[in-house]
Amino acid sequence: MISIYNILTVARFEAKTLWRSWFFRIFSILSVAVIGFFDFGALSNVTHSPWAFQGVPTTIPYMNILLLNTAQAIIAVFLASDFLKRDKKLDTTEVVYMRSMTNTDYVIGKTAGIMLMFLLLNTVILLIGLVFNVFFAETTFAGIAYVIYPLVVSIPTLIFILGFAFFMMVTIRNQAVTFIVLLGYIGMTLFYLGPKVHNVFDYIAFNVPLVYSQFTGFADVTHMLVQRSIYLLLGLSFISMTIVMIRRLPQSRVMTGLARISGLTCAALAVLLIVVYTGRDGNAKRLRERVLAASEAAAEKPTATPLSCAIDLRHEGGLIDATAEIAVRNETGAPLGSYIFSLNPGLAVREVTGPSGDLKYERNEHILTIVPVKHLAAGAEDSFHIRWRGIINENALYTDIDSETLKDMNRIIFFNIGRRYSYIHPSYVLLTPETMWYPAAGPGFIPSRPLERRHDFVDFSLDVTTTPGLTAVSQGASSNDYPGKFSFRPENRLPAISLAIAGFERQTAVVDSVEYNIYYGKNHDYWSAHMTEVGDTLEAMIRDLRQTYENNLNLEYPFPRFSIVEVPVHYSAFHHAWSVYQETVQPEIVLIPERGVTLRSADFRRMERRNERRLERSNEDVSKMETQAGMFAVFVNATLTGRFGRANWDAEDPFLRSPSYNVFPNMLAFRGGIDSKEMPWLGMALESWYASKLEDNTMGWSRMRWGMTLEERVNLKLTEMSLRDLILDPEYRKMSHYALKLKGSFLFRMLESAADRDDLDAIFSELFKKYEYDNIPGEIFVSSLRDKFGIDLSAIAEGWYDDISIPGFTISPVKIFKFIDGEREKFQVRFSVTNNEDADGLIEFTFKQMDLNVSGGRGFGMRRMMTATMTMGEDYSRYVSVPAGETRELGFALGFQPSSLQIKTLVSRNLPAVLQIDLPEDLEEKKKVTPFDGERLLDEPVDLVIKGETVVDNEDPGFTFSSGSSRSLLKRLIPRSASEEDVKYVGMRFWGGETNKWQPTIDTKFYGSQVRSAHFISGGSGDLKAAFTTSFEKSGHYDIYYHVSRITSPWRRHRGGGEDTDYGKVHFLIYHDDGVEETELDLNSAEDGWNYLGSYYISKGEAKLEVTNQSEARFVIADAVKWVGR
Amino acid sequence: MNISVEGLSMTYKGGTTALAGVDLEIGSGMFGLLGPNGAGKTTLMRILVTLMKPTGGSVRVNDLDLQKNRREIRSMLGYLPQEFRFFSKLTTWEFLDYVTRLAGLKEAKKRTKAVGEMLEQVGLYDVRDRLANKLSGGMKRRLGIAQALIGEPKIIVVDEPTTGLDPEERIRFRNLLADMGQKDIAIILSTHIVGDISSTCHNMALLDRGRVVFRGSPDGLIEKARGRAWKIRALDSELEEIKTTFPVISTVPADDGWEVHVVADDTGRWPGEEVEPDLEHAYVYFMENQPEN
Repeated sequence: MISIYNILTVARFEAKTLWRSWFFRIFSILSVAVIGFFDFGALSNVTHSPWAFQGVPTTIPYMNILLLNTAQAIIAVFLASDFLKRDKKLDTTEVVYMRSMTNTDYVIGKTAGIMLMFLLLNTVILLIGLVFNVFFAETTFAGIAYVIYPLVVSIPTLIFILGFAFFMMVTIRNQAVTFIVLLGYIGMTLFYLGPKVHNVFDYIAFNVPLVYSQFTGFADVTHMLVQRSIYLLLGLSFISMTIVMIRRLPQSRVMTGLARISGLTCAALAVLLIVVYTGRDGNAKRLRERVLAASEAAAEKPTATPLSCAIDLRHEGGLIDATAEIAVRNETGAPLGSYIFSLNPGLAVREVTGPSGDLKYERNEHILTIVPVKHLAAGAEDSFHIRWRGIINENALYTDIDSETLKDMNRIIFFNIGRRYSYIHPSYVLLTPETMWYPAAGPGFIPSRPLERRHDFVDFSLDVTTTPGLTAVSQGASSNDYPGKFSFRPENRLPAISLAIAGFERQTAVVDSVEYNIYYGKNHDYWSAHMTEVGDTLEAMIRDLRQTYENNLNLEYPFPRFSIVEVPVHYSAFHHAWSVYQETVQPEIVLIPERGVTLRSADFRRMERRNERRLERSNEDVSKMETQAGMFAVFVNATLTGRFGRANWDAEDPFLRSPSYNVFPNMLAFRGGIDSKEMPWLGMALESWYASKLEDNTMGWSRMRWGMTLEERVNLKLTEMSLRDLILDPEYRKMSHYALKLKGSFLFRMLESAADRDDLDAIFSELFKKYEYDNIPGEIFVSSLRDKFGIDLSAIAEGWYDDISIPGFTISPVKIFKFIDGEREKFQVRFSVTNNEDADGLIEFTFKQMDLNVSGGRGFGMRRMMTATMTMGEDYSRYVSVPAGETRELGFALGFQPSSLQIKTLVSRNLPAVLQIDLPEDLEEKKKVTPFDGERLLDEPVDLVIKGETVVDNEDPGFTFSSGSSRSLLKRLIPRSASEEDVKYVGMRFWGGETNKWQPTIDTKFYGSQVRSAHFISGGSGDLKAAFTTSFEKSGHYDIYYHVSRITSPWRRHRGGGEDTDYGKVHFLIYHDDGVEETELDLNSAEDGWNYLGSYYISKGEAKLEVTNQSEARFVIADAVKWVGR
Repeated sequence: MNISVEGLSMTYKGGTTALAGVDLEIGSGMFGLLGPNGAGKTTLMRILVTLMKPTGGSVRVNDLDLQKNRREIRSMLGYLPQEFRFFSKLTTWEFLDYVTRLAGLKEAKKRTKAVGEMLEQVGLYDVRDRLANKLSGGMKRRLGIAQALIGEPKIIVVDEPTTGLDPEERIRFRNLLADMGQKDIAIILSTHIVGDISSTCHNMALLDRGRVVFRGSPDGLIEKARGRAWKIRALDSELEEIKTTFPVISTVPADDGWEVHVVADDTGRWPGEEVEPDLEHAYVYFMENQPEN
């Protein structure tokens, strides 16, 4: 007996009242203003907003709704409880209550009235987005988003929070207490509970992955619907219970009864969904455990080596139905009773038949064990036919990745994108080897042998039948016989095959007989408008970029084609420990997120604008064609040939990096490998060595953000445990890739320093050629090195893999002067290095001719990348190996004046792992000097402390400090995430990084032998001190020096050295015989390095100097103190 | 129209007894409910308008049980509570329109007509666009009356309606109610102002501490005070003593002192002149002679 009329009447007047409330009006105006401003900032031509705002067209309505929803989720509480408060106190309500309507009518009417107004506001906010979307943004219009986002974000949130507020008001009946409870709840969900347990507490949907792909829609529709339904149902339940509990005599028993039933039913359903929702996590975890157990169980079983695999796949909407003809050979040396394959557990095997009929087979999760009719003799070949059908269970993938990393949010800006690893969608399919979409030999990842992966080169062929209108992309020569029917015949054996199907459009260019393709979605071509002038030069540019890349690596791109394939924005990949290879890169194919949404280097509009501004400022004249060519180079260098994944600034954890799109695996892993039982890491080590030629990890930002770079964390860990232990310990899974990469490239650099690099390259090239599209047997690889250079890799590798000891260096101060060599001015640099540890070490020294940092300014990243090929040759690099315990004097006679010296200590105890030493500009000229270029063995180790000096560093036991609590009460209430706690050295964040605790940090400028560290604290009142204490055996006069390091934020460094920075003063308490002297040192006039503080008489016994936190500057740094006896 | 109240009792959670077995028969026309503050009038009214559930007894309206037939009974009701404020954001017209909708007048044309007429009737048509809470006290009261009367209610319950009204407004209001009383409508008027009842009601009940102590016509009540209403002439020096001895109705200054109206069985040592009792005399006499319990 619901009366729509009554509901509408109540709703109408509630809405009217709400509309006239100033609170609501001000909120609406503010929302419109703020979000309008945001839209303008995000989308207009004027600002430098991230490309992500435009890359996916649904981002605009999503952002608007997300921002509004966060605000309205809080505001609605006030409005809802305000209404009920009024209901309770004023007699007006009574003249309404005594009217003939049911409580159901009344409560629903009230809710509807409030909802109506909020939805109107949502509409306005969407309209604002729409205007920006259509008129200002370089993006397409996706109408569906304007319907979906309010439905899945706003409505459940509002229903929930209104229902919750109503319910609390009718049960608690005290507005103040209700407010405290509700705001407490909101605060908890926003700041703490939000992302926990897969966002189950996130009623606002702030962390729920809701980025909408143009290809496949939401990342996980079920996840999203269940999560949102929980709140919708809870809201409905609360509203129903409000009907039951409202302080008005019920008019209809039936309706009250129904409300009770609906309240309980909705609550029960919500609880059920919560159980289902949180249970998904448990199910996924259990599946992973079963998959790992199945792999482990199959680990010992020998299996046949696959020779060929002819796949015929039908794409049937949400699933695939496929068959394969597989030929294998027994290379185990003994008769084989079964063949082990891996196939995704979501794919059911329908039949396995051999030449003489059906074969027995078994499934254990992903493991497929095929039993041949009789044992396969050693060296014999066999073939069989498999048919399978189903979906990809994504929970069975990436079982080598720790669950925390898998769960970590994949954010761009403030959106959680979510993670997908595979798609079988009616209009989009993406199948990579990780998905186990076809039977691949071996059990896959084995936890007890994390590096032992089969890397078989197989003669693949693939036939695909899909919906006409869709295009399939895979490896090899393709033909499209009729709509929906594709075949692929790779020219060579491949370690894996992958498949993408979508309504792709295609752009093609053929350069030097390699076919370059871009496969992209309809309306996704935003780049052509920015590449209007490059047409004629494209060919030359591609040729040039390819050559540079090949030359840097000394490897050739081996395939006759190269394709960029667009994948949905949610597509995600992780690093495995065993390879540089990542799923984003497939043979011949790189999988780029749709419209390059997560790639800064794909934001051509911004690049263009920045470049224009820079040109305006500098009055340069650069043609449009040059600019566009530059942008093309930036895209290629930053995405396809540059770094292996970028550090993700937003992540709590530096190990979580964006995927790598570097085509590098094509150069090595997809055309060859090393098959070694004893050294399963050999392939990865070799890959890492090659890859390190492409990377330049100075990572200034990274240190400031996380305190230590990935490499430094790995180094620090390697001082505690061996590489083997680190790789075997599941706790360090996310570190193991980087540890292997670091140590792997180190291993080959050690070889490189022993053998000539070119000879080494030649040997490898020869081996690759000989075993092209196959694995080099490990023993052949080792023996080649032995034969050619007399290097016993096995012996070196043993210590490398199992020993804990790693080198550590003390480097003396650098001397530089100029001299005349004949008619030319040359530059001499000298310094000494001691390896204080018992492991041999290697250092890379690079002199930079021009410091790009200084001349940079805005657009610097782009310019550097555009001119990367030009400047590369101007630096001078040399590797120097320093055996355990030895000291070397190094001399460099340079033909150019170096502006800085970069010292990479590679695998070592040294922190920072990369020292960046600025060299002076004005140099003394020395005549009659014998230049020294090379290395000399010295007897005396480098000692930074000269005789008669006493130095106390912050790393020494003589350093102590007092601290306040470093975190505010509120922050302490919120538990810290794990990654925040276990870092030894923290970053000096120049924003929001206040600390009233002395914290250790590292930087080149700090004093130290192996570890250049200091403690820092925020400038304060002087109540917190750090003390440097030592003890003298002799009384006397001592000169006291303080080690100064003026640290500026990196962006200041970029903008001309930070001359406007106020470094402040450091305040000291110097303890001497006549008492304690307070003194200060003005850092603005001080020099980096030792600064004289004064001379004092100090009796034998304890000597002390204290640094206080008294300062106007951002930070006070306590580094080292030196006493020099007179 | 017949409202029959039987053994109605109401005890609040704290233990306060507001009604202790009230029996009443209320028919069409004006019915006055008189009693001092705290007598239980408001509780009775709130029960009658279904805002409150009694702890005992029953109310039947035209043989419909009040507790079981809230839908039907609510659709017959008009109610003006004692204290009355408005949703601050609605205009006079909007508020009355809202109530009219809730009263079941669904047809827009009819509703507009009814609202307009009612506003004319209570003299608020000119301020129909003013926010209801910006009206003067008297206007608000009139709007309250309007919302109680609109939608052709069969039972109108008004609780202390004339409090705070000036004499002119009060008369106007009484007349309005009296007009309604001509139809087959039960109007229940609760008040502690005797004048409201004497001028309008043919039937009344006197409520004291939750009990009906008198039921009948105002004349019947007056009859009970006949021969007990006196006028005493008193000197200044006597006034205080008289006041403490008798319930005093009024004290008027006279040439040689005071003319004091009292109710009493006799005037004792003061020479009293019997006067014609009115409802006020009767009410005071009646209340003074209730046994304490």
